[in-house]
Amino acid sequence: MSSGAERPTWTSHLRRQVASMPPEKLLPDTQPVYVASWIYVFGALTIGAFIVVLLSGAVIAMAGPSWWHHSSFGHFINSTHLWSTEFFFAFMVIHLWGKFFMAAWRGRRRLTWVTGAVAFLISIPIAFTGYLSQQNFDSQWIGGQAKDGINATGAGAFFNVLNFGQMLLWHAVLLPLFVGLLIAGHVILVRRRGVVPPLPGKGGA
Amino acid sequence: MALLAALINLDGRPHYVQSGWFQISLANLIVVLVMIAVFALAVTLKFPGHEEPVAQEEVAGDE
Repeated sequence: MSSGAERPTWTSHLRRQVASMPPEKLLPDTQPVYVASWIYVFGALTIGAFIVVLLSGAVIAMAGPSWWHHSSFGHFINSTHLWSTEFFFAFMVIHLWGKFFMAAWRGRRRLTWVTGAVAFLISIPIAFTGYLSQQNFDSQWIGGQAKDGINATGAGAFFNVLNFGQMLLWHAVLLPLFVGLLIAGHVILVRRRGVVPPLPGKGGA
Repeated sequence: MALLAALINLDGRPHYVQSGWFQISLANLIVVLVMIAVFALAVTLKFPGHEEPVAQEEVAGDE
């Protein structure tokens, strides 16, 4: 049943939010002139690297723990996972530098900045739990060292770096889910608010 | 890759750069310097194929 005045329910709110983002706004064909700059490329490169991280991680997860040490294909996928992560962080940090010096939180874009910054911060424990999930002496040594630091914070009771199953699930499920949702929200906010323009020049352009 | 491995001994002890309390591995220092160089190039280099301004209004040609 429909009525002229929408009741303030969560479904009507969600419907309005979805209606405010039609496909042509979500996937635009053109961008403002100032976007034709290399510094605007690094956000998309970060997402590209993140997709490679997820795909290579999915292959690793499907084959089960430690197989990547015992086959050439496993070595290849393991290296792909490592290097896509390296590129993910490098692209993300260059993107962050560019947006910081551009003061990208201007023009009601504070939430866009915050979602990006939080996604970066959560990506760091994803990498750390990845080191703990390597299934080799390196991960054992890192776990042994990290436990003292984590215990010193008081978090060791519920975040046990020596618990491989717990670390693997944080690394492969929970944290990537948070970051994936944050990146999706970040992109929607970029589409909603638009790409931030460069700072005005000395001439007040 | 084998050539690269032959050029750089990946099995040796890592090299560190230290200045007072600050210490960083040479590998990490190189990565940071390359990132700064890429950032500087991204800011200064001209984006190819966009000499002419892309006007958003030009796209709406159906009406």
